[in-house]
Amino acid sequence: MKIIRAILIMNVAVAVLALRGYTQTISPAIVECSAKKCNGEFTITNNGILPMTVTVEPHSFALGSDGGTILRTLDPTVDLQLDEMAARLGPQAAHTFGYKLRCKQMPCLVNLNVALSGNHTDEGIAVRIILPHVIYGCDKAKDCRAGVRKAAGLAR
Amino acid sequence: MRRLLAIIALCLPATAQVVQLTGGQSSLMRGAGAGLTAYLPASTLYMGAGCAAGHCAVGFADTFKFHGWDATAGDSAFGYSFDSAGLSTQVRGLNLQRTSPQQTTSFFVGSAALGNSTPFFLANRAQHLGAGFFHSRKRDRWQLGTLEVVNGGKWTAVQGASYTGNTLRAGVTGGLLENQRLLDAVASYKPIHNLQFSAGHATTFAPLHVTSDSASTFAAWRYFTAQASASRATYLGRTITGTGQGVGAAIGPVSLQANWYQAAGQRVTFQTAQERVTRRWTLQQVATQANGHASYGIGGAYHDNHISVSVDHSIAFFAERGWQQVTSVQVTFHVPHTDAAVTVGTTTLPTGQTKYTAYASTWAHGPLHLQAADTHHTTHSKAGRYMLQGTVVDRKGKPVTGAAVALGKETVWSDSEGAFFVRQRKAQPVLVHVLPKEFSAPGTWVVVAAPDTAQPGQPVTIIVSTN
Repeated sequence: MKIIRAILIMNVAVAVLALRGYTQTISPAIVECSAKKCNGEFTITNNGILPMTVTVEPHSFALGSDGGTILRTLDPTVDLQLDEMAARLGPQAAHTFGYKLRCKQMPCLVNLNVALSGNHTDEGIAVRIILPHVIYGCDKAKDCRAGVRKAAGLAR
Repeated sequence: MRRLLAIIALCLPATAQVVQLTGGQSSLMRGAGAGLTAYLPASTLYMGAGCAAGHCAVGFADTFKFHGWDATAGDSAFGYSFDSAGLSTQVRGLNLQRTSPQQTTSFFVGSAALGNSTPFFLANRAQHLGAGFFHSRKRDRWQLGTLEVVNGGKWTAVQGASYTGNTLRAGVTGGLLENQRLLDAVASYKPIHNLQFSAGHATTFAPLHVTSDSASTFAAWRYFTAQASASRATYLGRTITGTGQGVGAAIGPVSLQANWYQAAGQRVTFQTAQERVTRRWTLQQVATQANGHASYGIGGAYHDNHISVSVDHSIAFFAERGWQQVTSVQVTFHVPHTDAAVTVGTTTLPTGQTKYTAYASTWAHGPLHLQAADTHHTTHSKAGRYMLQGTVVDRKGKPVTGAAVALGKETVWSDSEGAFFVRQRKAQPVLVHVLPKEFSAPGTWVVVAAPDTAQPGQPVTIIVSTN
């Protein structure tokens, strides 16, 4: 009986490791919009076979000299209305988050960090996968990102 | 031996950590069936059985890794193409595939099969002994490929080569496609991003010697697109020529497309319009005219995180029967508080008969209990004017990430600042329940202090602690 139990536990452990091979995706990752009236959405897809918890955290950001994003608290000139800030995502399921963004100052750079984590365990460590949805808001949507990158001294 | 195999087949899913179940019935497809996918430690096992269109079948597939190869034992599909020549067949046997950015190699040995593919079960019915091999390799701008298949006396041996440059793409494919000799060549030239010219030539030698030549161009400018094509086919000493033109526009949420085709004295026009009314509502209209016969279609769809609804209605004129109409409705919804989804659809045929299709799928999780202990609450997307919000902290006032809080019928998880919110349409207070067993943060959590109710505009603070 002990041997059978050991085999079962080993199988389960291998299964858990195997399950980590499935990926989660966000679409679209980057959007450009007119921040005077920017109504958008993004979809998180859980290609895995275990349910996950999703939370959305908005930040304003600036581009660093190396092209990386420097996150900060949402600017007071930014009015962001998320439909919801968290959801439970079933196996191989997708969830769409909608938002309305209004900005008083341009360019308006907003990063929505989407954090995915597995569901509850009594033991273990917290693992969170963070996928960003990046919004470049300008007076005109076209070439907004390129303009922001150019202003930051970065290549297009 | 069969009993032993049956016992093994039934026992294997019991060791799986995750199992997906599907099942359904359809009078439209004249069948019913069910399938089970078991995610085992080192493989994925599928078993399905059912009947469709008067044929009953049992399907089985075990997908696993074998020395770097993706292997499937049982039912699978073997389908590859090279430019315009390709072959796709359902198979029952052993299928091996290895893919890298530079090359793809695949084999199958077993039998070619007819597939029973429904939304609720998949099963192949073996027909003929067969074997296949496909290999494709990229080198710089060149791609070479070969496809060899033997399927019940039908031979396929196709070789192809293609070149993809910055503005020029050309390819040639030739060989034997299911016992028919084939030669195919295509070329396209794209001098600028929004303009493309293409030309092609194809020759088949048996059972009829047919040659066809075609040329087309495509252009796009701002919101507008335009395309034109001309083709000529020769067989049995007869030559048929045809032309086609089309224009399209995509302005804001509205997309319009109109195409005209003429060949052998026949004329076909085809117009579509699609509107995205809101991010959840879409509408589509189609009008087709061919040789004086007209058909019209109208459809609409609604989609959100919990329900999808689509309705299509089409009317077509037939000389012998007059106007005929078909109406189809499909609804897919997620069962609240579960991972189950149910799809129900009806199709009303020109005879007035209504046929239905109904199927469902759900997930079951194994003994590790990795899923939430109690998933009796889910988050519903209901954007509203009133916001219930709060913060979850520990005894020292530090924010707690991933704390689950039920606010009325909604469940929400706190972010890295410990903050959470839910929107609602009514300015009324709701009950607050902290759900320690649904925290995404690991550990055994207890509630130290939490309010009984929350109301819009008055943020609440919840204090929790780990044991």
